[in-house]
Amino acid sequence: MALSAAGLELEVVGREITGRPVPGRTHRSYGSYLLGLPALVLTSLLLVPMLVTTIEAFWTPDGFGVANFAVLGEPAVLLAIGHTIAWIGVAIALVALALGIALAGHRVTSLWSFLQPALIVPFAVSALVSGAAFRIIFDPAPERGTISAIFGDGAVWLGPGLFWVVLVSAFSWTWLGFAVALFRAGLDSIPDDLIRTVNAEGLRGWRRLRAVELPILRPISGIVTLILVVATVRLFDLVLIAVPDPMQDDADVLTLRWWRVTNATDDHGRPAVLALVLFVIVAVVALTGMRGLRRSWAMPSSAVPPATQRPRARVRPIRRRLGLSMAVSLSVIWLFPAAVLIITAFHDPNAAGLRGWWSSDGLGLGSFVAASNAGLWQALFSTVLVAGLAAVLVLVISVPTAYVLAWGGLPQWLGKAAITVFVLLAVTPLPMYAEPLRAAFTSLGISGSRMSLALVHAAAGLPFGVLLLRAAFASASPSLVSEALLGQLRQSEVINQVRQTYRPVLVAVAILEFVLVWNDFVVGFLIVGPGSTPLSLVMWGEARQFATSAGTVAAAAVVSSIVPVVLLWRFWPTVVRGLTVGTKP
Amino acid sequence: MPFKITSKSSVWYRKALFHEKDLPVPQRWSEWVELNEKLRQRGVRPLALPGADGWMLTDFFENVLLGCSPEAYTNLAGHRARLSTEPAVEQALTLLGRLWAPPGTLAGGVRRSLVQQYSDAVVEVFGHHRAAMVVAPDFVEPLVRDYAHSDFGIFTFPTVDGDQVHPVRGGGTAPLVVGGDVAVLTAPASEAARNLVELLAGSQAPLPWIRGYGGFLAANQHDPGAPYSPELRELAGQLTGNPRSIRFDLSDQLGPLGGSEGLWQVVQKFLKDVGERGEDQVPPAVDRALVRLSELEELEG
Repeated sequence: MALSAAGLELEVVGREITGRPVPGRTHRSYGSYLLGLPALVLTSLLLVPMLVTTIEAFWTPDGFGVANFAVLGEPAVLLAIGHTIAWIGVAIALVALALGIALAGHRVTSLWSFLQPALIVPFAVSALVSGAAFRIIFDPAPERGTISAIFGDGAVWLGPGLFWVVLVSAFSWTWLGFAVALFRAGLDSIPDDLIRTVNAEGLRGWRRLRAVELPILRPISGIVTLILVVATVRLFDLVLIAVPDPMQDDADVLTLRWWRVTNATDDHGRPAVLALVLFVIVAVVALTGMRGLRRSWAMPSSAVPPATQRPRARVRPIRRRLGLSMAVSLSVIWLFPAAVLIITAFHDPNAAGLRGWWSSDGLGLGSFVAASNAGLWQALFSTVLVAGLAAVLVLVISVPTAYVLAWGGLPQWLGKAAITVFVLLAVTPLPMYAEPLRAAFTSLGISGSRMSLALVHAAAGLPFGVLLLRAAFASASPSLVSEALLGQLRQSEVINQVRQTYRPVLVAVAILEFVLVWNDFVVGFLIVGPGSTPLSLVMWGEARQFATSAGTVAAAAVVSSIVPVVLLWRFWPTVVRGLTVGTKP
Repeated sequence: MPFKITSKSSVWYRKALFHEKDLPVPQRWSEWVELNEKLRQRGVRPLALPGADGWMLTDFFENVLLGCSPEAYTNLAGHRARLSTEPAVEQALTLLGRLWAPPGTLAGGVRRSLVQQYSDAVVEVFGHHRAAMVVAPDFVEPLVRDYAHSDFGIFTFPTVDGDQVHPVRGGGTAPLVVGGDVAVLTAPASEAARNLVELLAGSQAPLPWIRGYGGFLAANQHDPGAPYSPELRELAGQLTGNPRSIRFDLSDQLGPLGGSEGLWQVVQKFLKDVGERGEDQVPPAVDRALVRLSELEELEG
């Protein structure tokens, strides 16, 4: 409805309905509960072992008790717990940094066209790959390591104390871009009306940030923090590949300590206690995060944000050029580790073992040949199968489950409880279920099979998929739902709307699961064993003598990164839209 | 069914350097200590230590221990003695400490040694020429050849004899620590598995490794015509007819105590404590190592 008088145009803007429609009590059919059955079966792969671990933590030769908890007093364990908590601090600092970058860069459009692809690459590659890249860059031998060559023979990078620099850089490299991209998506989703209002009211600087941007980014901050905290708590392979053996004790985190204690004794109780402590830490973080999120997650999205470019404030040319040159240099820095890997891969193994990537000696394909002799192609095939199977399983099972949770008419308490369980499962650290699963697989004689690897991955990935899909389903436009229910809309239109709304989140779930499985090392290494030979285990095997295999490791890293990088590159906007669809203000 | 043997008692050195400086190859511990002193005086660091590979350091230690007392070694392997209370262990750690303690001994210093894997140590010696020798098993042969081309030689781990200042009786013979890979058939093994193991038992089976990769000693030593390199042929010869004390890798026989959370770390920390810190640091470092060992043994029960 628009009024026009004396050149002035007035427009009445109605507020959109928010909140999900509240259905009246109807006759409940319990048949829809059956849709949750496959998820229950699959997650029992996690739930039963978790129960076993919990019992083991309290089981002592004299019956139930807390004697096993004495392990928490061991200096090595205290150190590991301290490190894990410090890592959580690192994760939170990264979130803040990412928020700052997103806010600062938001108004310079040209920045993103350069920076975005550079920021995706690190997120797409595995922890082993980024660890390998940074270990090559920080190699303590001045002939091989970039940093050692620049700063001379003084500091032993990777040595005591300094390996933290390497670890934190590698971790930030992986996650910073991802966090920035999500924040950016959040900023982009600020409604135009709101921006116009804020501009008209002349809100600027800190006040504008507090009044507009921060509240709008709150749900996204919650998710980003959660994802990063879970990533720090799961730290394992990065430390294993980046830190040389004798320093690894000093770099211990709880997951590693759990693994070491598991290997050092036949006792099940003490490692179980460590697993439980780790679980409690993550659970507290996750539940706190979700409490803040719950309300926002049920908010409707205004369907799909239009893909068209929204008009932006004009930026002065000098600022534009500044932004552009900053973007170019930032992306060059950000892509540097990847470039080092690629160039190292094109050196022969001997040359890569002797000199750094900048040397022109021994250029060639020798490292790729060596990697291929190490079983790279078979591993590639194996990984495609396992990752594909896991992604399909997660998709097929999480859709009906998420539907039941969103629209299945569950009693409120049950819905809440189910969501809490899925949140906890989504963040459950591997030590909670690894040992009982491994033992079960071994006794069944299926350890090392690709099928069991895919099943474990699917079980571990399912909760996150369900949560994401549920948030999306629950956020479907209420008018659409009500109109569809009342039959005011043509069926084809409803289907079309639903397809548009849910396609991104389905793609996001499938792509993320595929990439996560593709890049996994820990599940393959700790639970299923070497028989299934995923790519990461081949890389790990080659990395045993790191420096002299740097060429081979780099070649394997490059080949194994192509698929996830291309996939995420191609589907990035969809993935981001899918990840944030439930968080639209 | 043993398939592969690893000979772990060789010292790989730069032949041309020894020739150029007119240095003899040592046969006894005292000669080795003397040689290292001469190298240091001429500005050459004697050793590259792969401190990041704990098992390489325990191999080094085991060689000294076996040189000190084959009986003690046997008792320890048979779980009839404890590492923390066995006098030969203290003696071996002391000798080892004195070898590693003089400043200027280790390529890259102790901090770099601790981040070096065995392959890095080989590159330090034969690639970057920052040290003269590396103690390493037979399987480094292809790597050494890659970087040294033909400028390398092997001498056997010296016989422990002590010297005038630090008399040590020693076992009298050169130590020979070996490791190995065996094929194991479980009770319900299939016919195919049985056939595979039978095939691997033949003297022809290891030939592809010997010929294709090098650095491989066959457990089946019945093929006199095996195409070993001259160096590996010598090592193969040591396995059969000689009077050296042959023992299987000790740390592999100690369970978790001999592993990455046990002896590996003890020797790594010992290296951290003594490396290039001077001889007066050796006794307290040995004490600390023995305390750590007894703590670990407590934990094992």
